[in-house]
Amino acid sequence: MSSNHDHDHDDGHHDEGSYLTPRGTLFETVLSWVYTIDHKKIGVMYLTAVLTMFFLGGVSALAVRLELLEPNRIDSVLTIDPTTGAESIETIEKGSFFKSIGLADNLAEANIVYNRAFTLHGAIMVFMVIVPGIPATLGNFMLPLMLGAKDVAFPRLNLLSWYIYVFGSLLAILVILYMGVETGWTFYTPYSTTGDISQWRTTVMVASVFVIGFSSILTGLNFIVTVHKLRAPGMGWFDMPLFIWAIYATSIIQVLATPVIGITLLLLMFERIFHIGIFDPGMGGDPVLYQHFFWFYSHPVVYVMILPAFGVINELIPVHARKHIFGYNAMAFASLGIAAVSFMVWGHHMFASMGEIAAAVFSALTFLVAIPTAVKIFNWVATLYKGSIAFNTPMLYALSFIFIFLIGGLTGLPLATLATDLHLHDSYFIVAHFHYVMMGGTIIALTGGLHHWWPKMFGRMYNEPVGLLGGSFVFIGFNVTFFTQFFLGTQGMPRRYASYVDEFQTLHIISTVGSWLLLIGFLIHLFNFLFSLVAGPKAPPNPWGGLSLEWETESPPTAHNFHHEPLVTHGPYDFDRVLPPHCDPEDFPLPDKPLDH
Amino acid sequence: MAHDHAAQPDADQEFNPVDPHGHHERIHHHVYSWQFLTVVLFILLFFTFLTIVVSDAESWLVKSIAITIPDYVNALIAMFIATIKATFVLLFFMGLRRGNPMNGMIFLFTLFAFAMFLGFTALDLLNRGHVYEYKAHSIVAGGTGVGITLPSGASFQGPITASAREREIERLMAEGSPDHPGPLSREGAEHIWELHFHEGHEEHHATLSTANQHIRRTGLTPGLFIPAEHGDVSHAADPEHADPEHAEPANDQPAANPH
Amino acid sequence: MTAIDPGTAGENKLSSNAPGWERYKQAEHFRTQEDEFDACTQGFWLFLATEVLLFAGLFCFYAIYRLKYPEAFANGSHYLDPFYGGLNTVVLLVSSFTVAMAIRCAQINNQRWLNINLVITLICAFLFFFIKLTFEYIPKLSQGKAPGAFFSYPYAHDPHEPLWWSMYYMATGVHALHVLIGASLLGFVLFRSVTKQAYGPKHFTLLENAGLYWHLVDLIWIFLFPLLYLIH
Ligand code: HEM
Ligand SMILES: [Cu+2]
Repeated sequence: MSSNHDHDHDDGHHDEGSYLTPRGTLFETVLSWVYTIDHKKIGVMYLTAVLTMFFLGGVSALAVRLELLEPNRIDSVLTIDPTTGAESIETIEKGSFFKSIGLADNLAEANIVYNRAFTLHGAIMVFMVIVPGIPATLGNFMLPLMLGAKDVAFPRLNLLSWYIYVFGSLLAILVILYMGVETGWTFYTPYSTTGDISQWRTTVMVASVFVIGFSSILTGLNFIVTVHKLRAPGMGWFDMPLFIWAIYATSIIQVLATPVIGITLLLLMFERIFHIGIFDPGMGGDPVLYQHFFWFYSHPVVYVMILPAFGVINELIPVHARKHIFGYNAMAFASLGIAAVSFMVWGHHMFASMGEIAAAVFSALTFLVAIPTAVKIFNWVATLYKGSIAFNTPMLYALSFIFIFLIGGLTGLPLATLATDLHLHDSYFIVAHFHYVMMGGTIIALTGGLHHWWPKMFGRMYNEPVGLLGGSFVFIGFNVTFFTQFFLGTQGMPRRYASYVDEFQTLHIISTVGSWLLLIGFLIHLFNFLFSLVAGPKAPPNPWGGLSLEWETESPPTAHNFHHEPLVTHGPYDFDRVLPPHCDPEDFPLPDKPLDH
Repeated sequence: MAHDHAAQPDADQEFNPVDPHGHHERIHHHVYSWQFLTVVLFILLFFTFLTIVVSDAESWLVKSIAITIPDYVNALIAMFIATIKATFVLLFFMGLRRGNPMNGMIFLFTLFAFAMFLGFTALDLLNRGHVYEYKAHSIVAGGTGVGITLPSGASFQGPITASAREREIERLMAEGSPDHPGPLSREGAEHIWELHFHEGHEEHHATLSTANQHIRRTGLTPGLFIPAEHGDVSHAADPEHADPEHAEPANDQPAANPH
Repeated sequence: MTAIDPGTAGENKLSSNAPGWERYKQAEHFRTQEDEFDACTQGFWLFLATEVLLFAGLFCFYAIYRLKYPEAFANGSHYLDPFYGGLNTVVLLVSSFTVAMAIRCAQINNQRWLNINLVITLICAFLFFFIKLTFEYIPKLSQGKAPGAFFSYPYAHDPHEPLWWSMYYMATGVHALHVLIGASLLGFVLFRSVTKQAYGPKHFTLLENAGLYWHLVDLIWIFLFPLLYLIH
């Protein structure tokens, strides 16, 4: 693919070592990570931080599911003292997981603990895991490599953004240690202005989200400039891998939407401290105005979550099906189109509270989002058609993604319809919908992408059968956990309650068992990855026969990414006419006749 | 971006490693002459002057010839002039005119997002209750400060402004004013308050134009316009202040409606 | 601004008494110095975009409540004296002009006037704060015209006036914070210019970006001024 094709990495450049090679003493090595401005190290640092937060968020999710295993019950028991014959009625409070492990003394307290648990789960997963999940980890690592650049445009800014992220997350953890907040991840007023009187937990939590917003802005800004300025020679806009397009569209949203959550949270903090009266009805403010402010950011941000996931799938499918992506331009423009439309639909989160005229407009606009999204799904399926599909873990994840995201996206449509949304709003249907798109979209794509790029990032192969086993557990566990919730929602189970009527229990039990399957799946992946780091076989530079630039360099890449600046002479998906670099042509042969695409 | 794409190196074109995407004419830093920059400054100063003068002239017209100019005229003119000024700053001081066109694009996208934000938010907040009247109802006790506790422990019983007045009257009763040393009776204190209130009247009382009355306003709590328990705060009874639009839409207001 | 500074900027091996701007060499991942300049200004424009959208929240605050409680906002703006607002506008416009002049001086390598212009800008920043504090914040606050629940001015005409003051302090306060940041940035630029002659025809990235920031501060004020002082 590039001019350094013939300079194989064996001849003479070995002394440089990979970016992972320790330098000097242990202390110096640690320093070389702490002060690093290498996008690869920062990507790995982000990955570590994000996975840690994923673990914390996961623990609270399991706790939430356990609390919902049984409805709360208050039983009255008549006891007769055998000696005196005196009768007494005792009430026994049952059915609360939090009470049984001692986090709460009675059911009323258990409900508060439950509120804290789902708030922490939501806030951590959204702001600290899924939003930075793909761009800051895989994006950071892969974007310059795929562009053939030495680094991102502003490497120091990149490091700064990591430190900001870690600082913000530590603030949030502080709040968790001091018992957490009860507002839900959306911090709606008046929960967030009246609850927790004279305490600082909500304020600190909001501040930590505010801080993390900056890291998101800096990452986005950095990537936009990198794409504009640092593409390798010969790489025009439409020669870029689609992952880059997705990250580019994501970055635009990050830059344009995140500042609004910044000012929203700032106003919210001032509302708490000075009672300025913008969001608090007690002071003449309007709580729905808060929701407008919040969702102006948070709706576009769901595309910050999903667009990079689309990008990952755009790489997984062509590489592992060895076929040119179907409809490259459509894919690129769909990404930009989703980014543009995402700024006009946020009102669908407030159908129940907003004026009818605005609601009708927002409903109509929301349907628009489905168009570019559907274009993408069709194109993936068309890419798979007649491809030579390798059934490995990345492909398993890509297929899971299509299946799950399809359900997630389609269930968005009844929610975008005014009449049905009024019934489904704030029910478990919503919970199921956004887990299908966020967990089933972003987390699935992240895990799949991690398997795909793991050999490149760490120079070791993971164990394929174990990966497939873990992937199957995740897929089945996910569907068991969340598909049931669609039924719960349509039957009327509201979200954010610690208890429910007995009729819902069967479905809740199924859902909770599903969450254990998910746990097993992720633990299998974790052990697979850790084992691969310690004892996995060394990875070749291009294990999958990929054509984008990151496969040109060694695994793991050298500190400077490439020995020579690559020159791009073919597209990233030309599997039918270009032999992949560093590969045995036996393994990845060209098709007999070029496929038309 | 179209620029970048169009400039992809062609096969027949010689490849220049320093200029891979073929920006043949480098974006050169344009140097404006100091005379030019000074002229821009004076234009900006002139518009600043103009916007103040226009706003004064408008108030003057309203007062002396007693014509009513709708309120939005005032707002539109002021925003129009501000936009002109901003354009000058952007084009010449910030160099959008001669700089990289991509930067101008970025700014346009920003304005797009800005417009969406303002436009759709206003679309909802100013159009409640057109179909279902119940959506236009006020938030009961909204704006009174009820339920708010300050760090000092103080809380509000009535509207904040009325509480402030109440506190001032109590202070006057205890301390009096420079002309009337205290302690004073409640009536006396209220009288002094009244005098003060009307003193600054001309300066900061604004007559509202009719334009504002067409906006559908929701969430107004009628109780706010009834002063705290003691006070018949003069302006609530004053027909000039008790604008009809507080009662609009009249059939929506709860029974506590002062009108 | 360090944040928009390129990563591994090195200095090339010109004689060490050459002025800073001549010795400057771009970070190694950029092909040319112009590429780096473009990248840095583009990054900075993106940053300005975020600033504009940050203020969008405040403008939205203003717009919604002005339309909802017009009496309170009309009264509110009558408490402010357009003279001081106008004066501050003039101060900021002049400083914007001097920043533009400073960049021009860097481009034509007039180090002396570069520094003089920056000093005038900083004086303007100081004047802005002085006017804001002595004629607005301090007298208003001492009369009890404070934001939200801390409002204690006894002669309010409209029950929603506390909301007006909240908006006023939020908008002008966030703006003043930007003036402060911009002035610090320009102070840093002035320091590097005086000590190292860091900015000249071939390299003035940081000066350009600090200038852009300062113009943005001016731009926001151009809108805040009529909204707060003139519209009634
Ligand atoms: C075809 C595309 C989609 C449509 C039409 C759609 C529509 C909707 C609607 C109308 C709601 C509001 C339901 C209610 O609260 O009553 C909603 C909620 C939500 N959606 Fe989607 N959605 C789509 C895709 C996505 C994607 C891709 C994500 C994230 C990756 C996402 C994340 C969410 C979240 C997080 C919520 C609920 C947030 C909350 O209330 O806590 N959606 N969706
Ligand atoms: Cu949404």
